[in-house]
Amino acid sequence: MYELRPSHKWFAIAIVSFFLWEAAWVIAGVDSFPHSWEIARDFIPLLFTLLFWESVSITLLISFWGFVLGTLLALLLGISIALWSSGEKATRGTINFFRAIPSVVFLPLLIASIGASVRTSVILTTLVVTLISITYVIRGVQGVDPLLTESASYIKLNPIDRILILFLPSMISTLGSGMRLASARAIGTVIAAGIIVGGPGLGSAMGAAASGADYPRVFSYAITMGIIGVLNYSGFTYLENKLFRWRTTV
Amino acid sequence: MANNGMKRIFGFILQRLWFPLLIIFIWQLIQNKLDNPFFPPPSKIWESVQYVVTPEWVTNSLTSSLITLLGGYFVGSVLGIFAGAILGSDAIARTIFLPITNFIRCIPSVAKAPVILALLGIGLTTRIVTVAIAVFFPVLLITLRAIANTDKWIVEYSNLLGFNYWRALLQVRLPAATGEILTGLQAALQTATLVMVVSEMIGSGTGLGAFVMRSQSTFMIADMWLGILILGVLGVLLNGAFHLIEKRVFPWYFASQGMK
Amino acid sequence: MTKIENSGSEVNTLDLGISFVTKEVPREIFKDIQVKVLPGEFVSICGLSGVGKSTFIRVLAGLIRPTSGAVYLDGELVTTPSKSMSFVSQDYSRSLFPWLTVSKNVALPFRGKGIAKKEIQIRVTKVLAEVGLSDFSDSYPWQLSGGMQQRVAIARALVTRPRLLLLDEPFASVDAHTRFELEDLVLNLVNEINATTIMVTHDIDEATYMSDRVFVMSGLPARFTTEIDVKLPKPRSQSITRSEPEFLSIRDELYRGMRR
Repeated sequence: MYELRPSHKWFAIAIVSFFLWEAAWVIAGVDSFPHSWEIARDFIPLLFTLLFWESVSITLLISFWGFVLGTLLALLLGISIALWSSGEKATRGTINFFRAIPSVVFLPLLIASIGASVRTSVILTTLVVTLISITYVIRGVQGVDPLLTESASYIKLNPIDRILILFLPSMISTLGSGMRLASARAIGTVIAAGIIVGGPGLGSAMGAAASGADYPRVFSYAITMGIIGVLNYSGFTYLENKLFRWRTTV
Repeated sequence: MANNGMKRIFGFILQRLWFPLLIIFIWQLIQNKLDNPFFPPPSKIWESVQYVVTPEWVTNSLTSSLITLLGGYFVGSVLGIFAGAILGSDAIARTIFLPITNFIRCIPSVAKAPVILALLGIGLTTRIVTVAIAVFFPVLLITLRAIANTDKWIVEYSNLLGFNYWRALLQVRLPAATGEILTGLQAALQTATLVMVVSEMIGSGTGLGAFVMRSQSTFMIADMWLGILILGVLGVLLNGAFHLIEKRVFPWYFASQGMK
Repeated sequence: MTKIENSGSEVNTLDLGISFVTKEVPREIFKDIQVKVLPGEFVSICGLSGVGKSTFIRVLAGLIRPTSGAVYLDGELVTTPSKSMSFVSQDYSRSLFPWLTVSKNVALPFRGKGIAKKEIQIRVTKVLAEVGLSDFSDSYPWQLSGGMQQRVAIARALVTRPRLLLLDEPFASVDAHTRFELEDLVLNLVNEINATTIMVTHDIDEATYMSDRVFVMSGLPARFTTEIDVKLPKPRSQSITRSEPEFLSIRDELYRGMRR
């Protein structure tokens, strides 16, 4: 089996991407579909504009706050629900119901009541992150290995130590596995808010480019979002491996 | 005997439903005090049902959304599984396409909608294509990974049996990856719903997403909530249908899971 | 005469019984069990899978409350895991805390019991040396082999110098050679501290090799149908003891007892 060396690999990827893109151009057959070099020609200078970095930073900032607030809220609600004995069953339906609704439909409601601003995006992002993470928190609380619980019993751990040593690490581990998804969705929500109702960030920048028929620009922003997404993904994967190396694949 | 069973089913449903029912009940009660225009009481939303849900509306909005959603979903998933299976089974293709696919997958699905809208213009086809593309990449990625990580022993065994490439792929590797592919398909369902709504919100006059936008801009807030709730119900129903279908089509997989 | 630093507990059960209620039908696992284990004795309980041995030993441990009857430890009623009792379960990989190092795992029984940190450190180091894991005190369980993980579990059980040691099929998931090593390890350690030991196992050779008395548990509801005094010379040796004619006749009796 011929194995590609890393340097060869990235070169091959670049070439394949180029050909794939141009093939897509041929298939699409539309005037508006830009060539890959047109996109490159737009993207590289874009990286040197202040406006670009402003959009990027505000998108990341809103995502960050939405993520943090959402996780905290999920912890609060999730632990309460999980500890309340019939809680999980009672709320499961409601949580699943609201998770099934694409968050973006709440945008018009939020815009109508609060108006389009940074705060609106943060609120929506928090909502999304909470809904996703709450399931993980509940699962984390309830998913402690029963054999481990039994160990805690015959070692005779006191209740406080049970929380600290048995319960908390187990829950954090489960929550951690969901964080990659939650953070990705947070970023997606901020961008969605931008696209649909013109909230601040990369979303509206892309929307503006689209309505202005500046297609290379649209794709430049798409590439930017992809890069952010990949960085987010690898960042969390790295963190997970570092913090949770003891996790065995079940 | 039947009485006992009935009691248990009733108790089972009650256990899960009392919470949302309570919320609705409280909401109805306090709406007098609150009188917030943006959170209408359930009774008002019920009123909207009566005049909104006409056969015409159903064909226009509901059916349009369903066609977009399901059409795009099926096209995207079938192509995604197919491409993922082929790319995943070859080491070189895998090394090249995994990063590319991952990158595209990392672009938020919502961002794909305006891109495609800009390129192909408004229309049902555009929306279906958008949903298909949004579903294609995650499914491709999951299938690719699943096929790539097929248990080495299974692959060796199929070589031993003298299976050629296609047979090995279809009869051995794909079934072995059923679990992960199903998980991916379920997640893709949610993505499809999301992208469907987004593409309707920015692009067109038909569909549930457009309905919600319209209701908001004409200040028919109760209608807007109706649309939101219908989307929720749709999501839950689709999820439920998915589970039912997957258990029907792959009974052997779930049975083996039970043994673990 | 040397003063024995620690001595084992005396275990007594009176009319001990357990029955579980599943789907409104009571299932009696075992009932009216009368057993007396003397201080320092090593007792094994054999039986086929599913007869209730694991449940029984968990009742002895105070992990499960019996539905009828009682367990007495040195004359005191057992309601929760006793301070002078230690337990080793079959599934070692899931009984150790994966996010703690070996030494932290072993030190856990001392947590919150008011013993000085230095003292704990000394005892942990000592017991790790006794089980042969001194070099791995800062490793994590996932870094160790199955046999080593079980040794950590044994170390954790013995670090408090318990008066009663309970083992639930401790070597069932370990390969044959490691099993012999661990058998001798446990025998040596419990002899040193003179603890009473009760072990559940399905391996009749192991039971014969290690014990002073062996019980066979069988039937539905289960009872102790056979009791054998093992009068083999001590200290036991894997090669010598196992070829003694007495060994073979005892295990034969056990074998027949299990099949009844």
